[in-house]
Amino acid sequence: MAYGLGLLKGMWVTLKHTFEKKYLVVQYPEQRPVLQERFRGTLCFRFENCIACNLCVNSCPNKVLSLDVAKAEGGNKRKLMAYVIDMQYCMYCNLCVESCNSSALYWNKEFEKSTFDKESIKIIYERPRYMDELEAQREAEKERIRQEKAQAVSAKKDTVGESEISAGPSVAEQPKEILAELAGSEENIAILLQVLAKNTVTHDKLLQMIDSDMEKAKKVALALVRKALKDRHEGGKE
Amino acid sequence: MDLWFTNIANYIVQLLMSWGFPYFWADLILLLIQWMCVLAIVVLDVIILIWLERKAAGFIQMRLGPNRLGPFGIFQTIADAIKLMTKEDIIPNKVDKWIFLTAPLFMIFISVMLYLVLPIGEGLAVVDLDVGLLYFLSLSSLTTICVLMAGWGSNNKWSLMGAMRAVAQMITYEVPLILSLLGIVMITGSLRLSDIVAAQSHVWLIIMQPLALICYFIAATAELNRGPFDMPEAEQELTAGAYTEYTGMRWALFFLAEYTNLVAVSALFVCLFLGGWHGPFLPQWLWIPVKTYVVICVFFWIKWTFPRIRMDHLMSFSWKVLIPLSLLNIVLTGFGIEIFAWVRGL
Repeated sequence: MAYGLGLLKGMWVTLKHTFEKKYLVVQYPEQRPVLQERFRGTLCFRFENCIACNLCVNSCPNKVLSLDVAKAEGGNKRKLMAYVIDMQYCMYCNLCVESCNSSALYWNKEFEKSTFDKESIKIIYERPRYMDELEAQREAEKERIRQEKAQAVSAKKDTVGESEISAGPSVAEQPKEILAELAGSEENIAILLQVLAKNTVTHDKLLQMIDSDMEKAKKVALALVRKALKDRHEGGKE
Repeated sequence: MDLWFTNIANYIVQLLMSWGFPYFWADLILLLIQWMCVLAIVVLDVIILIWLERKAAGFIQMRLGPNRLGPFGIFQTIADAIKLMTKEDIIPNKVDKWIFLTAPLFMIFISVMLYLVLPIGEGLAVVDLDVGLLYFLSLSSLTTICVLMAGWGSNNKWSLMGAMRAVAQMITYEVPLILSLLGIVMITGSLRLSDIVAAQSHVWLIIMQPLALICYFIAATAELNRGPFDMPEAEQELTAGAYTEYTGMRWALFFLAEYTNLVAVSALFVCLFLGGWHGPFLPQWLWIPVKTYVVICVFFWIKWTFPRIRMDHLMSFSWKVLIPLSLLNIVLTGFGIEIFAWVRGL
């Protein structure tokens, strides 16, 4: 006997909504939307970080990205001349950002990307003027560290003798430059040393790496710091 | 205050006659002026109603509705109208040209003709026909032919399907619509709308005919192709039904006609069930619009609450539920009248 009661119930629901406060709609141009932390707005590029490895270009499913690379004079080193992001084909899959080893790609929260013609939606990063200087500086720095290390090793050879090179001093005793290169900031260095003090096996391995392969050591150190930070973060949450 | 408009009309006729017009011509000119007034009311109503509907839809769906142009977005419809009027009038290649072109004109013409018999106040109908109700109902079912013309002339399968649906729906719901109003005619003993309104000076017919009210309201919703019964232009299935091929002003005319019909049917509802111009405080000619807008708001409320009903359900609902109910209403009314007469005779 309850014909139509459902209809009345539905009408009651809509009537209630009619006089509710309307908080769902963002009055866009005046009111800005609240964007989430991981919102993918526009793909951005840090020219200084890029090592022109081409991984992002290969990872992109839509061929959004392209590199313009030249070989540096006198040597085989790749030199990035320009970086082009054709945003109109981007589908915001994040694969390029994930593939980048040197965190040269990141998202900002700029979502108003309409343009009047197809060409101007392309984002082109030309090689900045200071890049040559910056790269030269970095090269010089690396060279200096390499020399210092060599000196330290030879000095050690003199004092301790050849048999004990591999067992060497601890990571904490390494020159400051090496530590800085391994972990970056002061904080990170402190964290790294804490981690290594707990785990002697890792410590010894890392030490060997510093001698043999600096790049690999850097990565390992970075991973250790990140893991420690993450653990600490999660521990703090709980 | 009730007689403002009657006085104005009398004044115009007297003025014209004092200028030397014979009474026939003066009356004809008055009729033309009344026509113009009806047209103005229609257009104004539609402009307000479209805004109101969008606002109501927004509020029901927890949005804000149009709110950019003018205070509360009240000028939105005017902007839309300007846009529609300046749009290109596209006539597709393979349409049946004359049928295609004249369908919207007929539709709006018929819709405006509905207003001629509606009494806005005592003696305030343009033409107070003695078969006003019959005239209204027969004209309002004529609009179906225009929808069929539009659908057939468009030479498009969606349009034709929409038109066929409109015709099927109209035939089906015309029956309970008229049957439900028979009870009112039995009680008031007149088909003249002003007589029906005058009969409600003490008791509104909503109290005497609740069953007819429900039947009429549902059937009218279907007749207007509105609310949960908008099968003829079900946009998810038929793009826009019979209006698919229309653009610009021709489409706008259909739209105008739909809203015009909405106002007319709501006004008829007010005249038949809600006591027409009777009401305290306000003058007569203000009561009808106020009540009409309340009824229209209920139409909006229903439209934006319920999902569209399936075509076969629509049909079976009318034949199996509404028509028996309205027939029952006639029987009950007959008994009621007899019993009332008997009690009075005691």
